[in-house]
Amino acid sequence: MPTTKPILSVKRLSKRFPIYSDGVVRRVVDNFTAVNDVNFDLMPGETLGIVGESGSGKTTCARCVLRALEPSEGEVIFQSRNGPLDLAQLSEKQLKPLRQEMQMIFQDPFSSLNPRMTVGETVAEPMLIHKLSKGAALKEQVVSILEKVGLAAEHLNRYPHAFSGGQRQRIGIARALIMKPSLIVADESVSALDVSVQAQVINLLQDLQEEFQLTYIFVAHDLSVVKHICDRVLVMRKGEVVESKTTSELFSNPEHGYTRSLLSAIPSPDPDIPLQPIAYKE
Amino acid sequence: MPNPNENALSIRELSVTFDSEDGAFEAVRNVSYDVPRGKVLAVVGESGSGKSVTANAILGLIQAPGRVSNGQILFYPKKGNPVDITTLSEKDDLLFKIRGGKIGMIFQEPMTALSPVHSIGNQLCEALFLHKSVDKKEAERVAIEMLEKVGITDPATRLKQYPHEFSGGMRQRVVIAMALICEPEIIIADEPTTALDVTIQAQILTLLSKLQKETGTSVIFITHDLGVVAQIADDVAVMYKGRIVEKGSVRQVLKDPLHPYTKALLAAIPSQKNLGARLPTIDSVLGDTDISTHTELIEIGAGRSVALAPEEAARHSK
Ligand SMILES: Nc1ncnc2c1ncn2[C@@H]1O[C@H](COP(=O)(O)OP(=O)(O)OP(=O)(O)O)[C@@H](O)[C@H]1O
Ligand SMILES: Nc1ncnc2c1ncn2[C@@H]1O[C@H](COP(=O)(O)OP(=O)(O)OP(=O)(O)O)[C@@H](O)[C@H]1O
Ligand SMILES: [Mg+2]
Ligand SMILES: [Mg+2]
Repeated sequence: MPTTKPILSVKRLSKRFPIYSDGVVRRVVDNFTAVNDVNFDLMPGETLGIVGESGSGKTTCARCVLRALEPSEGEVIFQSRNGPLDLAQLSEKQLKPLRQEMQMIFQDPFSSLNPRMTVGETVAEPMLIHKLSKGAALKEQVVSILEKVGLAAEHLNRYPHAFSGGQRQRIGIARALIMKPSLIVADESVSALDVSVQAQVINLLQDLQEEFQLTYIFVAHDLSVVKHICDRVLVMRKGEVVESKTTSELFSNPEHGYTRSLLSAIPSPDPDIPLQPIAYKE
Repeated sequence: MPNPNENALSIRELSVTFDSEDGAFEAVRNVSYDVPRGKVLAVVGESGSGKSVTANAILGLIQAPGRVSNGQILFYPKKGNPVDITTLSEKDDLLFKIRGGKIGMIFQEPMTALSPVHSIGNQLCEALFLHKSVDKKEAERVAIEMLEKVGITDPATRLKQYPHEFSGGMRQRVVIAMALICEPEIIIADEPTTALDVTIQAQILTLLSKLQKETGTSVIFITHDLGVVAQIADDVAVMYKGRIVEKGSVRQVLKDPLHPYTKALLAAIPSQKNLGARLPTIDSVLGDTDISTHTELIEIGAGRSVALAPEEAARHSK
């Protein structure tokens, strides 16, 4: 498909956070660069993995792309239904109608769910905000998506605290999927699931991708999951992309020392294969 | 309460029930397991099967509408008499000493265990002040040392920051540091490494193994990652729908799984075998096999148990 345009084109994306002084009045004394000069293109229907060191800027990068954070520098060109737009330049008001086309599944399921809203309300809320559905039809859609992620109609009226970690994570997934967005950024979104439920959710994501040509950015620590679902992978360390390749190339021919160290630290489910991680030295 | 096997903790026929308008829901059903002193027991199983609720019960943290509806949780401290934690009331001084002191908990969701309005340093020192007699300077020194051990670079600066300024994995490591800082006899680690990249995960696993060898700490390790189980556990308990369906040594359970659910779990790991294909789920592996009746945990060898259907169980017990 040589004529297809990227759905997302990220150029020179950087994000700096202020560092404050000690004391009661916290003054800004310096900046911390959490994301430094990240570039990538994403084709419609593609799945991009972002892996890397804890604290390397994966979540920050993902949040900047969807404008949950304001980038300090760079462009985020998104092919919306009405043509290309640089998300980095848009106001909150201009972004609002675009929000239904791009959804984020957050890393920390508990703090991203409103404790005072039932599961039914939580999953229905974005549909109501964007006036996409209501009443009995909406309820039916909510139940249907909950069932697809392995929850049930009987859970509708429960509050988040009454769920297990993995169940809460699935509520967040259902809330994003119900919108049928064209771009989904999933931050560690299957990490709290046992491998069998995880398999069910991954199969669902892949089915939806096939049906609606969804595009995914998948931030994950579990490299076996990344290997299974991603077409391409970015490896991040200290705010920078240190390696970017197709998935099969990355796993068969890792070039950067950090990538090698990462691949060597995947524990095998066979107790007779001991873990022998290679340390990474700069 | 005799303790023939040198256990640090023994759960006996524990049930936990949540009451609601729609009736009572038994989240934990007749669960028994032992945690031998200085050993690591991994608890794996279905999402929602009762792993965290069992862990909360060990710390006396089940709150209404939940209640411990049956069973005992016997804690055998290194010094002093055994205690049944289920009999302690919220006001009991002993429960306070156990919670966060003798038994350290690494909670599944770091943000629920951290206060958003206190600095990381204050929270780590607070844990020390509660359970150890140390002054501020000493507490800070220990806090910095602990952050360093869990792989946080530049710990002295990081101490002054707040949870929202940390990444997911860094928060998780703070929670790990908080659980370890009081040198507990038992560590309950609920999904402690899911937010960590594999190199830092390896570092945390090494740290836990070291502590466990040096100080004889016992660990209950709740995880979905069967690779992590293979690396760190001595024994494994598998939970499914509130029950334990299989128990044994790590080698027995991972290399020779007996219960259909355990087999399904192992089949669902994404691997070279199923690359590019749909992943097998529990339903697709089980097919028409109905495991809802496989509920009677039968001991089939030393330390090895599996839940069988009643007719099979009856055959075994003859
Ligand atoms: N609001 C903030 N204020 C200050 N620093 C921040 C803020 N958010 C993130 N950081 C810093 O930016 C860096 C990158 O954080 P980020 O959350 O993007 O990491 P990550 O790659 O997602 O890590 P993890 O795998 O642990 O979730 C970290 O050093 C973190 O401390
Ligand atoms: N406060 C509560 N009220 C009602 N039900 C609850 C409550 N807390 C937990 N449950 C239910 O108890 C069951 C067991 O939950 P638990 O948190 O122990 O699961 P888990 O095995 O830790 O799962 P995960 O791997 O997803 O974290 C779940 O079905 C959950 O919905
Ligand atoms: Mg993150
Ligand atoms: Mg849990």
